[in-house]
Amino acid sequence: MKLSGLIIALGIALLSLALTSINATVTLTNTFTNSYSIYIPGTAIGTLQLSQNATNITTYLLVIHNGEREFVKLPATLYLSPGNWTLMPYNETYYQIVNKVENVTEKTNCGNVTVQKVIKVSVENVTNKLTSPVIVKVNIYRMYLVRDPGLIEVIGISTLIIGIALFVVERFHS
Amino acid sequence: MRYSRSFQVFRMIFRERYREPTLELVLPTMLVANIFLNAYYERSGFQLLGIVLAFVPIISVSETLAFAIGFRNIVYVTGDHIYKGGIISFITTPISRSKIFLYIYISDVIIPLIFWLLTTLAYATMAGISIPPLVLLTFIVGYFFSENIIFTLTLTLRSPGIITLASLFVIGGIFIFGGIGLYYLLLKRSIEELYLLSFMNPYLLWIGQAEGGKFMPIIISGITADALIAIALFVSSFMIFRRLEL
Amino acid sequence: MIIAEGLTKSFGDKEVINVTFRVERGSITGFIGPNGAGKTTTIKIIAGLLRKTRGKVEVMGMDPWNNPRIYERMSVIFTTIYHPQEVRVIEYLKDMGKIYGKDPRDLIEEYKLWPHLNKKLSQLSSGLAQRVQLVAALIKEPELIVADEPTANLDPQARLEFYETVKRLHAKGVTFFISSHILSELEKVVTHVIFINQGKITFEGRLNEALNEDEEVIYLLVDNPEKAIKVLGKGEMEGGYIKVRGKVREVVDKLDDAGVTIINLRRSSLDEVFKKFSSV
Repeated sequence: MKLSGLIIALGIALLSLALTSINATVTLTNTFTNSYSIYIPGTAIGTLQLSQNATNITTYLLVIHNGEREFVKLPATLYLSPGNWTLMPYNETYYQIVNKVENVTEKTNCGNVTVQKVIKVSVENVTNKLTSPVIVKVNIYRMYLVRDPGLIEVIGISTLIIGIALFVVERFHS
Repeated sequence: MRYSRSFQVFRMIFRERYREPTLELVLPTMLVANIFLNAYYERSGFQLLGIVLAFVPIISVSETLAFAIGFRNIVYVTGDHIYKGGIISFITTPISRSKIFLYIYISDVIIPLIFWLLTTLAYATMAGISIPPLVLLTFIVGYFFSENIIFTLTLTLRSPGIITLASLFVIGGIFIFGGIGLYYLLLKRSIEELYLLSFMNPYLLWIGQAEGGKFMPIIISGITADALIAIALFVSSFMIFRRLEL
Repeated sequence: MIIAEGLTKSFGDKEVINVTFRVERGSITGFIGPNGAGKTTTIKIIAGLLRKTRGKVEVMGMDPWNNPRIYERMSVIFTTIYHPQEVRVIEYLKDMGKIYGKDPRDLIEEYKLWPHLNKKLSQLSSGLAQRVQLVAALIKEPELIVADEPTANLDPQARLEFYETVKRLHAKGVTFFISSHILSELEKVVTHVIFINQGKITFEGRLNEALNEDEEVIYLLVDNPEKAIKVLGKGEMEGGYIKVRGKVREVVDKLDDAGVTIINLRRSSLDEVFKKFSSV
């Protein structure tokens, strides 16, 4: 049995794995109010889009990625790098219009009269519990087949060269 | 360098099954065919479900290839040798029938599995995808289960045509009807009956597990049952081969 | 070399053979019988390919069933090569050489196989295939060669070559146990014969014992057949020959005395013995 053919074939296979990637975009959509975790392998290239439907809310998320912590204000787009991503609400700020009863002194012919009036007031609320769910869109634009295409390419080319050299030697000997 | 007689006979048996360009075609194809692992893994949001789906036989090209080579070796090489008498040449070499059986079994069944395991592990390592060992074990045990059925049928029925049909009916029946039955029982949540059918198609239970179910004990019992049946079939094949009259 | 005592093989309820015979060391024993007599079954039991149902069988002092040691000293030859047909001649012979630690090149040279080494076994003519099988059998330098109808597919030239080889190997001390239908050629090489019919041994002994009878069938080609039949008082025409049963000396004397010239005389051959022992 000649080894050269097998080694050449394996070299071609490795090279094709290194040079090929899945380019169809895959979008994974999720929502959360408590927390969200996703593991991104070293082969995936993409973004993490964070948003909320409510426009009057300002939400800050705590993003933990491979042990590093970062605060992000929504809406935000993060470039994915390999590892574990955990998203947790940090705080949510929103303004609420509330009715407030106020004593208003009005001047009348009879003198000053104090009356009570209902007026609308905007109040800033801060909470660490989300009232509106966060929409997470994981967009994977490219999925490499191997973690380190460069290394596999080098291994593939080397295997190919070894196979060709062996083929020449085998031909010479037969 | 002179090798032992046993090794020479093994080499003859091996070469008969892996003539050029079998390995040149099979090994790279098995390696590259694992791209489905990446594809399913990506689509599942890098969850267990993607890995499990990529490991379902037929969907997994690599597994299907390993099974097909094992099937070809058993039915169309060993079966054909028994049918046409070519095996006489091996039986009349000065090594025992037990060893000949072992060499045939290694070449026919174990080597394709090793090819699959090596290429899959190599691919998973390169791709950085960690595959749960129990998922690997599910296929390994299932592979022995089905190949040993074929092996026993080959030694019993002898004719390659009949063996092909019988194998398709038996193995196809087990996996397809087992799958349908398990799906029905999963919907019914009938745990006791799931245990009974678990050996027929553990992949369905794996999908349930990946979707958040708690079926691990049932999966393990299915794998154990498959392994026990595979061992019983191996022993019966060995006994039949030792008493094989040509 | 081979001992069979009450050796029985049954397939289901049907007893196919029940034989007792002995093959002497250094002999060329012809194993003769009609189709379906049990020759191949007996040979397959001797070759360790079939298991006996009852009785005793010993090949070189060992039971051949599942006994790899006998293959060190015994070769089996069949009508066709029982080896995977995709294998090339050179691979087959080299593999056999490697198993027994022998170099097949001398045998390849002796049997003029060089031009055919790269052919697949399936591409060989019957004669060539038999030569390859013989070389493969000889690589291990066997003491005993068991052959089942080895010349059945061969043309007359190849058959003669085969039996020449048998004679040559016999001279070197190899024992042969050969079953064949082509008795005219077999009788030129065998020293012993065993006749089998319907699974039973009908005769076992030396060739001369089989042929040497008080009265034998004689074929005579004479110048005056009518007169010869009249003189002998018996006999019938078979083609141009007179077929007569009797003692050769007496028949010849009678014809000589009557002045009938004998052009050709053919004595009984294995064919006649075959007919007799096969109840044909």
